Amino acid sequence: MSTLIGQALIVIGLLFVATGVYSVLVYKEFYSRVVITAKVDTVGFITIMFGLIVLEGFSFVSAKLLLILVFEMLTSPVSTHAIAHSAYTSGYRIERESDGQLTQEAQE
Amino acid sequence: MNFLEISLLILAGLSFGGLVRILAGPTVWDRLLGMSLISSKVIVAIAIVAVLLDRSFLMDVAIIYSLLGFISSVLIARFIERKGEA
Amino acid sequence: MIGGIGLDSILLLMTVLIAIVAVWTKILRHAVILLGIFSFICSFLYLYYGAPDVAIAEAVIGSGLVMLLYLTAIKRYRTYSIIVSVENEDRLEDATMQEFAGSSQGQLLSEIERFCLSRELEPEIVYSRESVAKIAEDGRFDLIVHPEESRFTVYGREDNYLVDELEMLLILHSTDTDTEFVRIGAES
Repeated sequence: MSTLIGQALIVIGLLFVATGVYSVLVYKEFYSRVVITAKVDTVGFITIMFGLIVLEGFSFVSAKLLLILVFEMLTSPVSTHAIAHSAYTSGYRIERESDGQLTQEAQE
Repeated sequence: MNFLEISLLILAGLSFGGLVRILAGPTVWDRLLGMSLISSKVIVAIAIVAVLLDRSFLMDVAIIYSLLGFISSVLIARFIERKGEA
Repeated sequence: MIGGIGLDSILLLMTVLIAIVAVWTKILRHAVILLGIFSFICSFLYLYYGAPDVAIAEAVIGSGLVMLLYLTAIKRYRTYSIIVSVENEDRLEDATMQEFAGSSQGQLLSEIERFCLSRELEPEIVYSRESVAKIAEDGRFDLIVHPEESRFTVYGREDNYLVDELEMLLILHSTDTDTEFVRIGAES
């Protein structure tokens, strides 16, 4: 039973990762790609790791897997944020600042 | 062929997609994005290999990898940022 | 080692591709990123062939230490940030950049790029949809390029020593489009 659940989780995670890679290849704007790598790819990572933990059962190996999982959950969004921040401060702007103000005024 | 071996093969194919983004990406930051994509896939692949071979010390390599991938991508991002002044 | 599946052949193909591109690329920062990925995949291959100790060494040295060394070396090789203001476009996509690079005004931009490379400066071309005034106010630029229908305006900094030479170069090369050169005061 636990083998089945673990394999199902790994398949779901692989689907998430495949969606992430497909969107990174297909999306046309840089900042949308950033969102994809920060979110979808991390979700896929977490799901695959949980699948491996379920497959392995309660043991020393699964504790180490949990450690990797926690570490990657902490670091992966931070590194993606660093990339996006670097692009933004270097002057790579897709939206005009005045555009956002206009839409805000329209909403008010 | 084992289930985990098939998923390893799928992961290798997916990291090829990240490689395409690195080779094609118009800006430096696209390449960095592809690098973080590939590094996360490599970490998953190491974890799968460790479970497959049932060797727990291979997990240490994965921990080092996740640390190094984080450090190198943050480092390059900071260096590239506006002449590396920041 | 896990026998019977062709995982290593896929990864070895990837390393060969990355190595070729890293040698042929002109921009050094791209080469550093490619080198980092090369050593990542390489050390996974060591692990796959059953040598985890070598894999750890390769990861620490190749992906951490060597990358740090190259980055500090590249820091001496200064970047020249050219900001292209495409405020007339509705969206800024990859296709927009390719379209601009292929046009006759993109030829002028690649001329500037070649000039920077000959002066041992690394050109960093960044596209932005902000207006020129906004970018100039921000102050993080060396050169702002503003392409319009039939005009090509270049805004340079007054205190930059390369601006005079660039003006000469652009006047020589702009045959069919009007090229205007504007200098912005260096109060910021």
